[in-house]
Amino acid sequence: MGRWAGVFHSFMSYSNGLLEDPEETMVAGPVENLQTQIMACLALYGEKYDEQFEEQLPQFVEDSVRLRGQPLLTCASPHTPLITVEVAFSSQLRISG
Amino acid sequence: MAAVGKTLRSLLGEALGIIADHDFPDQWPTMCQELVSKINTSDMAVTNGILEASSAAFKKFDGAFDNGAQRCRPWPLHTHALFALADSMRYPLAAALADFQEPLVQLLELLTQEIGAAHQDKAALMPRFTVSTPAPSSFAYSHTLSLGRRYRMLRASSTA
Repeated sequence: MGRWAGVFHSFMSYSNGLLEDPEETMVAGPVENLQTQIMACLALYGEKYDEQFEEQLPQFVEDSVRLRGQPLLTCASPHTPLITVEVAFSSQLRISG
Repeated sequence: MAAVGKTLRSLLGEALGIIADHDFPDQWPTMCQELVSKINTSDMAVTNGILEASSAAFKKFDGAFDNGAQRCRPWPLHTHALFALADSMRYPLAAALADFQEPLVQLLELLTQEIGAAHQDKAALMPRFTVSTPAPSSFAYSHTLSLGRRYRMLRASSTA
Protein backbone atom coordinates (compact mmCIF):
# COMPACT_ATOMS: atom_id res chain seq x y z
CA MET A 1 0.00 0.00 0.00
CA GLY A 2 2.95 2.29 0.61
CA ARG A 3 3.74 2.82 -3.07
CA TRP A 4 0.29 3.96 -4.18
CA ALA A 5 -0.04 6.06 -1.04
CA GLY A 6 3.19 7.87 -1.93
CA VAL A 7 1.93 8.58 -5.43
CA PHE A 8 -1.47 9.77 -4.22
CA HIS A 9 0.14 11.97 -1.59
CA SER A 10 2.41 13.59 -4.19
CA PHE A 11 -0.66 14.40 -6.31
CA MET A 12 -2.53 15.73 -3.28
CA SER A 13 0.44 18.00 -2.51
CA TYR A 14 0.77 19.22 -6.10
CA SER A 15 0.18 22.83 -6.96
CA ASN A 16 0.96 24.68 -10.17
CA GLY A 17 -0.25 28.14 -11.13
CA LEU A 18 -0.12 27.17 -14.81
CA LEU A 19 -3.05 24.80 -14.25
CA GLU A 20 -5.15 27.12 -12.11
CA ASP A 21 -7.54 29.79 -13.28
CA PRO A 22 -8.81 31.99 -10.43
CA GLU A 23 -11.39 33.51 -12.81
CA GLU A 24 -12.97 30.15 -13.58
CA THR A 25 -16.26 29.75 -11.71
CA MET A 26 -17.88 26.80 -13.50
CA VAL A 27 -15.34 24.08 -14.27
CA ALA A 28 -12.79 22.52 -11.92
CA GLY A 29 -9.18 22.41 -13.07
CA PRO A 30 -7.24 19.23 -13.92
CA VAL A 31 -5.39 19.13 -10.59
CA GLU A 32 -8.61 19.56 -8.64
CA ASN A 33 -10.35 16.85 -10.69
CA LEU A 34 -7.58 14.42 -9.86
CA GLN A 35 -7.52 15.41 -6.20
CA THR A 36 -11.30 14.87 -6.05
CA GLN A 37 -10.88 11.33 -7.36
CA ILE A 38 -8.08 10.61 -4.91
CA MET A 39 -10.03 11.98 -1.97
CA ALA A 40 -13.07 9.89 -2.96
CA CYS A 41 -10.84 6.81 -2.89
CA LEU A 42 -9.43 7.77 0.49
CA ALA A 43 -12.98 8.05 1.81
CA LEU A 44 -13.69 4.58 0.40
CA TYR A 45 -10.58 3.16 2.06
CA GLY A 46 -11.42 4.87 5.33
CA GLU A 47 -14.89 3.39 5.22
CA LYS A 48 -13.98 -0.20 4.35
CA TYR A 49 -10.34 -0.87 5.05
CA ASP A 50 -9.40 1.30 7.97
CA GLU A 51 -7.02 -1.24 9.54
CA GLN A 52 -4.89 -1.66 6.40
CA PHE A 53 -5.13 2.06 5.76
CA GLU A 54 -4.01 3.13 9.24
CA GLU A 55 -0.30 3.42 8.43
CA GLN A 56 -0.92 5.75 5.46
CA LEU A 57 -3.59 7.80 7.17
CA PRO A 58 -1.52 10.63 8.78
CA GLN A 59 -0.16 11.97 5.47
CA PHE A 60 -3.66 12.12 4.00
CA VAL A 61 -5.06 13.82 7.07
CA GLU A 62 -2.45 16.53 6.46
CA ASP A 63 -3.61 16.77 2.83
CA SER A 64 -7.22 17.04 3.96
CA VAL A 65 -6.43 19.80 6.44
CA ARG A 66 -4.39 21.69 3.85
CA LEU A 67 -7.26 21.51 1.34
CA ARG A 68 -9.60 23.08 3.87
CA GLY A 69 -7.16 25.91 4.36
CA GLN A 70 -6.99 26.84 0.69
CA PRO A 71 -8.57 30.25 0.08
CA LEU A 72 -9.68 29.21 -3.42
CA LEU A 73 -11.68 26.31 -2.08
CA THR A 74 -15.09 27.74 -1.39
CA CYS A 75 -18.50 26.12 -1.32
CA ALA A 76 -19.22 27.56 -4.75
CA SER A 77 -19.02 25.48 -7.89
CA PRO A 78 -16.64 24.14 -9.22
CA HIS A 79 -15.12 23.20 -5.88
CA THR A 80 -18.20 21.41 -4.53
CA PRO A 81 -17.14 17.85 -5.55
CA LEU A 82 -13.76 18.16 -3.85
CA ILE A 83 -15.30 19.62 -0.70
CA THR A 84 -17.92 16.88 -0.65
CA VAL A 85 -15.41 14.02 -0.78
CA GLU A 86 -13.13 15.76 1.69
CA VAL A 87 -16.02 15.94 4.17
CA ALA A 88 -16.79 12.26 3.52
CA PHE A 89 -13.15 11.40 4.24
CA SER A 90 -13.09 13.51 7.40
CA SER A 91 -16.29 11.92 8.67
CA GLN A 92 -14.65 8.50 8.36
CA LEU A 93 -11.79 9.76 10.55
CA ARG A 94 -14.22 10.66 13.29
CA ILE A 95 -15.89 7.26 13.11
CA SER A 96 -12.56 5.41 13.08
CA GLY A 97 -11.13 7.52 15.84
CA MET B 1 -12.88 1.19 -27.50
CA ALA B 2 -10.05 3.15 -25.95
CA ALA B 3 -9.64 5.32 -29.04
CA VAL B 4 -13.22 6.67 -29.33
CA GLY B 5 -14.63 9.92 -27.91
CA LYS B 6 -15.25 10.55 -24.24
CA THR B 7 -19.04 10.09 -24.25
CA LEU B 8 -18.97 6.86 -26.21
CA ARG B 9 -16.01 5.65 -24.14
CA SER B 10 -18.01 6.19 -20.97
CA LEU B 11 -20.90 4.10 -22.34
CA LEU B 12 -18.53 1.39 -23.51
CA GLY B 13 -16.91 1.38 -20.08
CA GLU B 14 -20.29 0.73 -18.50
CA ALA B 15 -20.90 -2.06 -21.01
CA LEU B 16 -17.54 -3.57 -20.14
CA GLY B 17 -18.50 -3.42 -16.48
CA ILE B 18 -21.73 -5.35 -17.14
CA ILE B 19 -19.86 -7.96 -19.19
CA ALA B 20 -17.20 -8.26 -16.48
CA ASP B 21 -19.91 -8.65 -13.86
CA HIS B 22 -21.10 -11.79 -15.67
CA ASP B 23 -17.96 -13.21 -17.27
CA PHE B 24 -15.00 -12.18 -15.11
CA PRO B 25 -13.06 -14.12 -13.95
CA ASP B 26 -14.51 -17.51 -14.92
CA GLN B 27 -15.41 -16.89 -18.56
CA TRP B 28 -12.93 -14.09 -19.17
CA PRO B 29 -9.89 -14.80 -16.97
CA THR B 30 -7.54 -12.65 -19.07
CA MET B 31 -9.54 -9.42 -18.78
CA CYS B 32 -7.00 -7.67 -16.54
CA GLN B 33 -4.03 -8.73 -18.67
CA GLU B 34 -5.82 -7.53 -21.80
CA LEU B 35 -6.58 -4.15 -20.23
CA VAL B 36 -3.01 -3.77 -18.95
CA SER B 37 -1.56 -4.64 -22.36
CA LYS B 38 -3.26 -1.54 -23.81
CA ILE B 39 -1.77 0.88 -21.27
CA ASN B 40 0.71 2.97 -23.15
CA THR B 41 2.10 6.25 -21.89
CA SER B 42 2.84 7.44 -25.43
CA ASP B 43 -0.90 7.41 -26.17
CA MET B 44 -2.65 9.17 -23.32
CA ALA B 45 -6.15 8.95 -24.87
CA VAL B 46 -5.99 5.17 -25.08
CA THR B 47 -4.61 4.85 -21.56
CA ASN B 48 -7.32 7.17 -20.26
CA GLY B 49 -9.95 5.00 -21.96
CA ILE B 50 -8.53 1.85 -20.39
CA LEU B 51 -8.53 3.34 -16.92
CA GLU B 52 -12.08 4.68 -17.22
CA ALA B 53 -13.33 1.34 -18.53
CA SER B 54 -11.52 -0.69 -15.87
CA SER B 55 -12.84 1.59 -13.14
CA ALA B 56 -16.41 0.99 -14.35
CA ALA B 57 -15.77 -2.74 -14.57
CA PHE B 58 -14.20 -3.14 -11.12
CA LYS B 59 -16.82 -0.98 -9.48
CA LYS B 60 -19.38 -3.69 -10.26
CA PHE B 61 -17.66 -5.96 -7.73
CA ASP B 62 -17.56 -3.47 -4.88
CA GLY B 63 -19.52 -4.93 -2.00
CA ALA B 64 -20.68 -7.89 -4.07
CA PHE B 65 -19.42 -10.37 -1.53
CA ASP B 66 -19.89 -8.30 1.59
CA ASN B 67 -23.63 -8.41 0.99
CA GLY B 68 -23.78 -11.95 -0.38
CA ALA B 69 -25.71 -13.39 2.50
CA GLN B 70 -28.17 -10.50 2.44
CA ARG B 71 -28.83 -10.75 -1.28
CA CYS B 72 -29.28 -14.51 -1.14
CA ARG B 73 -31.51 -14.51 1.91
CA PRO B 74 -34.52 -16.15 0.17
CA TRP B 75 -32.34 -19.11 -0.81
CA PRO B 76 -32.64 -22.14 1.47
CA LEU B 77 -28.89 -22.32 1.92
CA HIS B 78 -27.08 -22.37 5.22
CA THR B 79 -25.20 -19.12 5.85
CA HIS B 80 -21.88 -20.98 6.12
CA ALA B 81 -22.31 -22.28 2.60
CA LEU B 82 -22.80 -18.73 1.31
CA PHE B 83 -19.62 -17.56 3.02
CA ALA B 84 -17.75 -20.53 1.58
CA LEU B 85 -19.08 -19.59 -1.86
CA ALA B 86 -17.94 -15.98 -1.42
CA ASP B 87 -14.56 -17.28 -0.24
CA SER B 88 -14.10 -19.42 -3.32
CA MET B 89 -15.04 -16.59 -5.68
CA ARG B 90 -13.20 -13.75 -3.99
CA TYR B 91 -9.66 -14.99 -4.18
CA PRO B 92 -9.55 -15.84 -7.91
CA LEU B 93 -10.79 -12.28 -8.49
CA ALA B 94 -8.22 -10.80 -6.15
CA ALA B 95 -5.42 -12.74 -7.85
CA ALA B 96 -6.55 -11.57 -11.28
CA LEU B 97 -6.77 -7.96 -10.17
CA ALA B 98 -3.29 -8.13 -8.69
CA ASP B 99 -2.13 -8.40 -12.33
CA PHE B 100 -3.68 -4.98 -12.87
CA GLN B 101 -2.52 -3.20 -9.74
CA GLU B 102 1.25 -3.40 -10.27
CA PRO B 103 1.26 -1.95 -13.82
CA LEU B 104 -1.14 0.76 -12.67
CA VAL B 105 1.15 1.82 -9.83
CA GLN B 106 4.08 1.82 -12.25
CA LEU B 107 2.06 4.04 -14.62
CA LEU B 108 1.21 6.47 -11.82
CA GLU B 109 4.84 6.60 -10.65
CA LEU B 110 5.96 7.35 -14.21
CA LEU B 111 3.31 10.05 -14.63
CA THR B 112 4.38 11.60 -11.32
CA GLN B 113 7.97 11.83 -12.57
CA GLU B 114 6.88 13.27 -15.91
CA ILE B 115 4.64 15.84 -14.23
CA GLY B 116 7.54 16.86 -12.00
CA ALA B 117 9.81 17.25 -15.03
CA ALA B 118 7.22 19.23 -17.02
CA HIS B 119 6.40 21.72 -14.26
CA GLN B 120 6.55 24.72 -16.62
CA ASP B 121 5.05 23.02 -19.68
CA LYS B 122 1.25 23.32 -19.61
CA ALA B 123 0.84 21.42 -22.90
CA ALA B 124 2.64 18.42 -21.40
CA LEU B 125 0.95 18.65 -18.00
CA MET B 126 -2.68 18.73 -19.13
CA PRO B 127 -2.87 15.26 -20.75
CA ARG B 128 -0.94 13.73 -17.87
CA PHE B 129 -3.44 15.00 -15.34
CA THR B 130 -6.33 13.95 -17.56
CA VAL B 131 -5.02 10.40 -17.87
CA SER B 132 -4.28 10.24 -14.14
CA THR B 133 -7.81 11.27 -13.11
CA PRO B 134 -9.59 7.88 -13.48
CA ALA B 135 -6.59 6.00 -12.04
CA PRO B 136 -7.41 6.39 -8.31
CA SER B 137 -10.92 5.03 -8.81
CA SER B 138 -9.65 2.18 -10.93
CA PHE B 139 -6.99 1.33 -8.37
CA ALA B 140 -9.26 1.60 -5.36
CA TYR B 141 -11.94 -0.63 -6.80
CA SER B 142 -9.31 -3.17 -7.85
CA HIS B 143 -8.41 -3.31 -4.15
CA THR B 144 -11.93 -3.94 -2.99
CA LEU B 145 -11.51 -7.66 -3.55
CA SER B 146 -8.15 -8.09 -1.88
CA LEU B 147 -8.82 -6.18 1.31
CA GLY B 148 -11.72 -5.92 3.67
CA ARG B 149 -12.53 -5.78 7.32
CA ARG B 150 -16.10 -6.82 6.64
CA TYR B 151 -14.92 -9.87 4.81
CA ARG B 152 -12.78 -11.00 7.76
CA MET B 153 -15.73 -10.37 10.07
CA LEU B 154 -17.90 -12.53 7.83
CA ARG B 155 -15.31 -15.30 7.91
CA ALA B 156 -14.95 -15.07 11.66
CA SER B 157 -18.71 -15.26 12.14
CA SER B 158 -19.00 -18.17 9.70
CA THR B 159 -16.41 -20.25 11.58
CA ALA B 160 -17.62 -19.37 15.07
